Amino acid sequence: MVPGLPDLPAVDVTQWGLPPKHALSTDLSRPVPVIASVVAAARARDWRPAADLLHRCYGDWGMRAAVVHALGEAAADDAGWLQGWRAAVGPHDRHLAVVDAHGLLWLAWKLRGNKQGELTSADQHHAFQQTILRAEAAAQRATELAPDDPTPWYTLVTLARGLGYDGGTFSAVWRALQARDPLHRAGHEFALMYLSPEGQGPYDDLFAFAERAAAASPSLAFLVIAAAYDYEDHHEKIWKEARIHRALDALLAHLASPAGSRSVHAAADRRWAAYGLVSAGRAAEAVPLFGQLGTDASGRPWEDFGDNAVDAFESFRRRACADSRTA
Amino acid sequence: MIVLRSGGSVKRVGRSIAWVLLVAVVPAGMFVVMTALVAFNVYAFVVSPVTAVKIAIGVVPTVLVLGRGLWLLVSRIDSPVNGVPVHEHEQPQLWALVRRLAEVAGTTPPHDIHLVADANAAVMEDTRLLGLISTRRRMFIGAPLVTELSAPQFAAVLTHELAHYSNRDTRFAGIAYRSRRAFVHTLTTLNRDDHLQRALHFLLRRCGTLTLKATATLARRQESAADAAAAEAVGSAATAGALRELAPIAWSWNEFRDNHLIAGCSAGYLPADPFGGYRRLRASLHDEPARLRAEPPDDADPYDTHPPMRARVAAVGALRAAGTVHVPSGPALGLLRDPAPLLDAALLDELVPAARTMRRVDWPTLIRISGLASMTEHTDRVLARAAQLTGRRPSLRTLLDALDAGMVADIGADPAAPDRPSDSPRVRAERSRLIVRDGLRGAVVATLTEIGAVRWQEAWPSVGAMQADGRLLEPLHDLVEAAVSDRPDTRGLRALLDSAIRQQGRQQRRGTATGDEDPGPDGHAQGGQASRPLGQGLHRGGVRR
Repeated sequence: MVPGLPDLPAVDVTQWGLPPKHALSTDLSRPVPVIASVVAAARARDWRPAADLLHRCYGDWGMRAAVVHALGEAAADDAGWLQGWRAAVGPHDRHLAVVDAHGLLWLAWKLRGNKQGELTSADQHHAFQQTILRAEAAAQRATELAPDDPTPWYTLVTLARGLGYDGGTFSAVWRALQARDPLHRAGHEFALMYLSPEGQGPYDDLFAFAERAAAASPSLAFLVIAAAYDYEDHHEKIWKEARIHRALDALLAHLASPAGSRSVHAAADRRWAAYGLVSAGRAAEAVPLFGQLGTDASGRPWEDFGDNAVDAFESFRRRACADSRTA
Repeated sequence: MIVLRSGGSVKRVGRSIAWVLLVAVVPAGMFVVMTALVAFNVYAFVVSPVTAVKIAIGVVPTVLVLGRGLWLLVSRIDSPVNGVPVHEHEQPQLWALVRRLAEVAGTTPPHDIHLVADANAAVMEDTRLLGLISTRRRMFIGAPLVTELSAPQFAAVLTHELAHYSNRDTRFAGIAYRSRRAFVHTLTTLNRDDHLQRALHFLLRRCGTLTLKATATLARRQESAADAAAAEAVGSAATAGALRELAPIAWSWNEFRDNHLIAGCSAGYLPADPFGGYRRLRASLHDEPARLRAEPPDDADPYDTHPPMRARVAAVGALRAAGTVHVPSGPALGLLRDPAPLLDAALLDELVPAARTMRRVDWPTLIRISGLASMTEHTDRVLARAAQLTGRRPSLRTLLDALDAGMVADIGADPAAPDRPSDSPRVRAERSRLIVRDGLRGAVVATLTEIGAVRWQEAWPSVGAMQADGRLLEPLHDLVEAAVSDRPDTRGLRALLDSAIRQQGRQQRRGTATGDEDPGPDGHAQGGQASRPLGQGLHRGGVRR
């Protein structure tokens, strides 16, 4: 039972062809096999496949962001392979530089832990602050080594909230990212987190940002669901609003299209769609999405539940299954 | 017991009646509702006991909440009298001034005067029968006002407070406070899931906010009347001057109390001359106090019991009163005989009891001790752990040798920290590295301080500054980073320490020891360092190779 989540319906999800709870994984490299293999190699201290993939996919910024995000976590867990890589290519390699910066971002958050401020010790806060400054410096260096690459700018967007950027500083970073990739998905996701207001809101700017992005491309439709997820603690009825249902329909249509279903971000879109459908009272529609996600309980929104990520995932898919039984 | 806050007698009586009526509205309403609910339930019981029980289930919680609120209205409030009593035989000049000003304000002087460590002044009155009978009057004077205002400005503040007595503001301040307390308590304890209580919450809030606003309007009139009384007594100029000074003093006093006064408290030290430090802080602050003085705060809040400061200054100025009491110019401090012990006692009265036994040191020493204490939080632990791992005595040299031996992760591991099994190897290593880095930097700065290469100086409005040859401090950050990196390199740090020691040795031989800011006779200063085994260990252990 996870605090804040509704009671678990007593259903056996395996009857819907879903894997049992014990098989679930929060390993975020898993959904994309090519990323999974380079991360596995890196964890085994072989940096070459990672370097090779980053070299090959240079220019496919969506893929590069996903690879760097997954490799960054591996780097934060064990820096041995990064050191080997650096020893081989020297300190000025643009691929190494972006992974190093994003790895420091991951490291900062791992040092801090994902508990609320009051449950986080002074040493943890201090370590976070120190490391996030190192991540910022590393990301800025990476922007110099790869001037046309949006990825280090995406790292800076992700750092913005932790660094307490003011509006002006954030805008400059955001413009630099947009100049390099106007539809950068991960950049938009973390910009939304930067823009999220404290407490009660107002949330108008947040939704305006999400809806503008969603209007620009169906690949960004998930942002409206992410904004609603952000707002639901203060306004549960948000899920009943027509604009949320329109966004869910747009997201489902995108996932049904060839571009959406084959995107490197398909799994991420399915998570948001599944979360949104269950929250908006259309849980039965989420069952096929959970079928496609399979054992993958990684990424947001589940990730935000920290140690309870698997429980959150399990709760939502059980609600989906229970709803499809009654429907 | 009462909380403070401040013309023609008909007007005065009218205001008192309005005040009493206003503060009585909400409690009276609560009483009426409670009685009606009880009466209704009793009536229901007579008609149909079964129905009455059902009604009671809904009504009793509400009656209890209202009853508890009304009980607060009449129950005793024990708030301790703080501050240090100022006796007439010890401070005749201050008492004489207060008596004279009380006479001018048309009231009797207070029974007691207390000196407090707030940037404020206040009067209170103990009363019986909800304010009808006065038993004891007390006056509270903030020490920062005594040290920072001129005597005429100070007299204006005193007259303002005394005028609250003559206007009987303090009599009913107590019942107003009780009324507000009963209102706020009831409002916050009403259960808004219960329909009856939610309705009551709605009504009470509407009616309560209206009366709060009305009482605040009355309170603001009382303040204006007290300001006018002060201006009539000591003149518009001194009164406006005092009002202008209040915001800068309050602001700087908060700065002082939060950042400077208690800087050494955690290490067990207090300044020997706190008000000297406060004066230097005031002198060093330019922008904010000057802005506050030139443009007194103009926040218009309908619930504020005081008019905006800007309006008060303007109103007092418009009176153009010359004043009837002659107060000699000069600082207000001149009114006190031997003020230092009294001011100090007022300050200690506000601090934790342990403050009384803390060591008192001069400002440079306090700055050094607090600066080092904040930098060496992890140092003792890191030195001890390095000693344990190497089987040697705890010293900076032992730590550097242990780092060279690649022990950074073990030195920084905290046996007391909660075990976090989810921590990855790099996260664990990084936690250790950050602890060792801070501990090492603290040890190096402590050593440099000890040999005199680093000096700590007053740097108002900052808490203090570390001063040293730029060649010493600039590379320090990178050298410490190198010493705790994955491939540790302590050579730079050792060279830096060696050269600092050589340099200091040369200077001492030439007789230009830099002990000038730590005068030799100051036993506390030396004692302060001697009490840190860390510093001693570092020095004797030596950093020379």
